[in-house]
Amino acid sequence: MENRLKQFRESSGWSQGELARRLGVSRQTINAVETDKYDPSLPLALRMAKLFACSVPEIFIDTWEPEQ
Amino acid sequence: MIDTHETARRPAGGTHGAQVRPARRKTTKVIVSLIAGGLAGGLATGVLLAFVDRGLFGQLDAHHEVAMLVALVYVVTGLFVAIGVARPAIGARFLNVEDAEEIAEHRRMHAYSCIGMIAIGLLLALAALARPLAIDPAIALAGCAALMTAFIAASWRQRRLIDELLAALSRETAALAFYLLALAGGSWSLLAVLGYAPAPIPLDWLTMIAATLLLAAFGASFARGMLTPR
Repeated sequence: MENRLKQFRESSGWSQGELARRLGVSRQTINAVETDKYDPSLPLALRMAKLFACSVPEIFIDTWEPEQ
Repeated sequence: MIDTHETARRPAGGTHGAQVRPARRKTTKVIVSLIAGGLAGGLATGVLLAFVDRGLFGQLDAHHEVAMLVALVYVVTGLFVAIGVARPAIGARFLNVEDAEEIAEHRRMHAYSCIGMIAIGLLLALAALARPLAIDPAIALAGCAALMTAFIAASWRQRRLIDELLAALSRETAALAFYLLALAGGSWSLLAVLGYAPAPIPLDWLTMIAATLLLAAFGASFARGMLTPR
């Protein structure tokens, strides 16, 4: 899933390591999310949103729309 | 609960920042990794085959030689990780990490990983060499049980240290390994049942389990972009 985690992280002036430390995950996880190789679990996505004081859909972009 | 109306902190236009490794350093690191891996693998294989040719391991047929080669890959890979754990600054030059600190952050996890890999390699080697070297079956069994225990204990402890990405990777590796084993072992057995090939011997199954696990780990890591040079 496309996401803007890298932009949020860089706007906070954090390295991947710093963000990983704050979220309690590995740098590899941050790298995999930023390169769209891994969609985080719901708890981790919520933690990311809380950390950046935004909502989950602002970080993770989902183009799906329900059928009318 | 997510407040979707909460004001977002707008991200600024991204610069790559100082933490991003320059492309030139990445290329150098890839070259160093390939040379180190190639040299170590080539050297270890050469030494192993020289020992086999001189009969130091008794009379080995193709089944036993392949098992020994797979065992060697496990041991050499485990030793590379062990070097990284012991000396993160050196390990960062050939392991796929951003810097030495990244290895140090997960030192215990990497340590358990290399214990597990070396244990599997030695277990396979012991299984392959027990009969050719006429090792007492009870002693060989005790050795295999000890190595299996070391592998299980290391894996169990490692489970507590991994995060959700590595947990997902572990599940994907297990699933992929099963499919590869079913494909390879199943096809071979089918051909044997129909009389088109000799049946796999028990050692072949051990070799296939170890080999498919390793291939699956690389495949799953590749799919998650974890083999992309950092």
